[in-house]
Formats: sequence, structure tokens, C-alpha cells
Amino acid sequence: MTRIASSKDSALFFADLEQQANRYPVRSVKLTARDRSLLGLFLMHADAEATEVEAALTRLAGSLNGKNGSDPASAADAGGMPGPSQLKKILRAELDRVQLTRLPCSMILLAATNEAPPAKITEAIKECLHHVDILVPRNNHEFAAILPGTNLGKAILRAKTIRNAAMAAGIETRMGIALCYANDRFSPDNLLAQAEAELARTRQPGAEPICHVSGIRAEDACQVSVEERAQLFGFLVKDTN
Amino acid sequence: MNKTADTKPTIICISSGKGGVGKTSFSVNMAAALSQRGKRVLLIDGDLGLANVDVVLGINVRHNLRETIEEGKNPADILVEVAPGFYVLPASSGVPEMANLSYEEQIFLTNTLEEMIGRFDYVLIDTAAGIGDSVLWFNNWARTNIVVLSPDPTSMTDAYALMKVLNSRYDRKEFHLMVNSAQTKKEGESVFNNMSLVLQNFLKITPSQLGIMPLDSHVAKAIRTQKPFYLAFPESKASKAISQMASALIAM
Repeated sequence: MTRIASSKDSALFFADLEQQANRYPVRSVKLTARDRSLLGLFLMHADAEATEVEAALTRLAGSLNGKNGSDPASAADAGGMPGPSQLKKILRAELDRVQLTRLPCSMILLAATNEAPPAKITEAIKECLHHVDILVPRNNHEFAAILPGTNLGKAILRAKTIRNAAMAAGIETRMGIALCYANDRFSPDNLLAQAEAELARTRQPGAEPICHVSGIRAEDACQVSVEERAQLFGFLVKDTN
Repeated sequence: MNKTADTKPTIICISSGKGGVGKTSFSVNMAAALSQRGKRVLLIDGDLGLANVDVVLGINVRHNLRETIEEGKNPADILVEVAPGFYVLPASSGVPEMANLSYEEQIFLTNTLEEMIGRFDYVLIDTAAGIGDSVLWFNNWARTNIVVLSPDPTSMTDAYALMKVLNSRYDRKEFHLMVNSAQTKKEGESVFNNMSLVLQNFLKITPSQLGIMPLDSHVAKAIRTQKPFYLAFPESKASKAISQMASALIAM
């Protein structure tokens, strides 16, 4: 897995990422400029093969040679962003992290409906992504935005922000949002299938441009039921009688 | 008591779902009781946007966790020693942004805190009311979860809802219940037994009873004078209950 943090991030954020890296099955490489200023962290899944690491580092070096820094979105066209073939590996690592942290992970599948070049899309939406988000291209017009630690409500808000930013740049988008909690025990294929199904729903006649999975699922419904309430207060009634 | 650097403190999160059931009062007095038993205790005000621990303790704080999150200030520099072995990490009041920390901020905060809690035996977190992200995050970070509830139906519903969320989303199965404001011991037992039954029936979990805190006028009196009742009125019924619960916590 590769993830590139942008040079504009604070030193605190890098320190935090480095700490996180120590807890997860990843190896981290600190990237510094010639003047020793911190450019970012390069994180690799611990089981990444040497050839993969080498290829990713080569791509990264290429992108850094052209610029002083790189951020997740704009790095796409410079070759620094993970490629489509890495999406499932990245998802696997993120879903492993869901099990460790017990925090949800959302994914937005974004499709540009007009012929916007990928570089223009990433440029338009990069400001909408958080430091920990990962943007992965699927093909020329489709991107997967992985949002660690993001629940459905926040993912929907993020999708709306992305859509507005894209629209401001003249790009029409449709998005499908998937969500995974630890108890779901999703595989990358499960999450992708869920997001693809939602994206497909946006293409139906009259559909909203952003579709998402239901927030209320049987296995995760936390709402206190009528039956639970009845038992909670049952003894109070008895005592009164 | 000397704390060796390589042992981890017991992190205890105190929540209730509903506000106003006595979380802060319980947290402050439990911290005082543990420190009086020679333990080094850190009390973190986890109500990051509407902090109250400093108010209950009657201390004036110049720095708080907002500076750690927004400016990277070392939390060790904002620690306040309230009594020997009893330290407080205060939070801000009236800062809505602090009540809604982002994922990155939550990770940053707990990572930063983990670097400095090694010197303590117990870390108590007095969380905000509700089931917001920070409340769930602190509960997930802690090893021990204490849920405070009162005989009020709204308190019981909210405490149950909190445990249901923690169980279904975070796989938490061990909860220690503290029934506050019980008019009689029998009433406190009824509340605990009933909650225990509902948790077993619907969530298949069995909570333990940390204790029952009786209604005691000394509690309100201590809050008004901004002193822990455990220190101001050590012979009160409430102090005796806290004392028993502190012993139970140490024995865990």
C-alpha cells in the first residue's frame, strides 16, 4: 500500500502518522528535501513485495522531482497516487484497520459524467479530501475515495462537498457511497460491490446524483426498540403498583 | 506509590448517555478517593467543548486540551495537580469545534495522551453526555467502561442506548454500572437488576455492579462549594459509597 502525505501538512500530523504506522502492519519511510525539511511519509503495507515498493518509490521520486511537494490528489497525474490495481490492497489494509480501531470506513465511488480529464477532476476535488483520505483512480472517469474513520452522515456531507467543488470546475459527477463497520467484516469486494451498486442506482432515470447505502441495517441498528423500552421501565410500573 | 515506567495505567471511561446524572461529580470524587489510597491518578475532562471538572474542583485553569489539539501543546504542560497524586487535564468550555473533533484530531489526541499517561496508575475520563464521536472514541480507548445511571427512565434509556452502541459497533461487552441518586439501597438494586436483565435479554451481556450512590445532600453542598464531597465531607453516605467503589476498582 502506498500513501503520500502532502508537504503542506504540519509536522504534528507527520509525527502522528509515524506513531500510527508503528501500530499497524506498515513500514514508513520519512521523505525529506535536500535542505532536510520534512516532505512527508511514505507508508507501505508490511507484506508489500520489494518490486512493488521499488516501483512505488520510483513513481514517487518522479513526482517529487517535478515539484517540491505532492498531495494525494494532484499526485495522481504525476504518478504518485496509487494505481487502480492497488485499490483492493489499499481497501484490505483499511478494512484491517476498521477491525483494529472499531471505527467505520466509508468509500465514495465517484464517476465524472462528462469528458473531464482525470487531472482536472483531481485538481477540482483535492481540497475536499482530508489528510487521511485516499484517492485511487479506477479508470479515466472514475475514482474511489476511501475515507477512514468516516461514518455515513459525514461521508454524505463529504460527497456533497466534492460534487459542489467538481461542479464549480464544470465537471458533472455521480457518486455511490458504501460503508463498513467492524461488525460487517467486509472484504474489499463486499465494499466495492456495495459502492458500485449505489453508483449504479444514480444512473437510473430520475435518481439522485448521490446514492448511499442505508444507514439502518439490521446487524447494526442501535436504536432502542419498543420492546427494550418496555423492559427497561417495566419494573417502575410494578413498583408503583 | 512509585509507578514504574513500563506498566500501563488502567484507563477508565465514565459515561452516562444522559447529561446531569452525576458523571463529573463521580469522576472527581473517585479520582480523589483513588489518590488518597496512594494511587497516581489523572482525570481527563473528556467533555471537550463544555468542560466542568475545573468548575467542580474550584480550580482556575489557564491552559487546556484545546491548546494540545489546535497548537500541539504538550499535555504535560497543562496538567494541574489538585492534590497529592491527583492530576487534572482540563478542557475548554464554550468551544463547539472541540465537541466535534475530526478523526485525525481524535487519533492525534489519544496518541499524544498515550505518551504521557505512563506515569499514572489510573486515568479517568469524564466524557460528555450523549453518544457523539468523542464519547464513543474515549470509551473505545479505555480498558474499563463505567456507566452512570439514575432511577430516572430517561437516564436508563440513554445509558442502555450508549451500551447498545458500544456493544454493537465497538464490540464492548464489559460494563460496570454505577446507580446514582438512589433513594434507597433497594431502589438502586432494582435499577441495576432491571438494567442487567434487559442487557442480558437483548444484548447477551452481563454488567457488573460497581456500586450504588445514595441520595445525599452533601453532594449538592460540595458542588456549590466547588470541593469534592469525598474530601469536604468524608463521613457522608456518598463518601462511604465512593470509598467502597474505589476499593472495588482497585481490586479489579
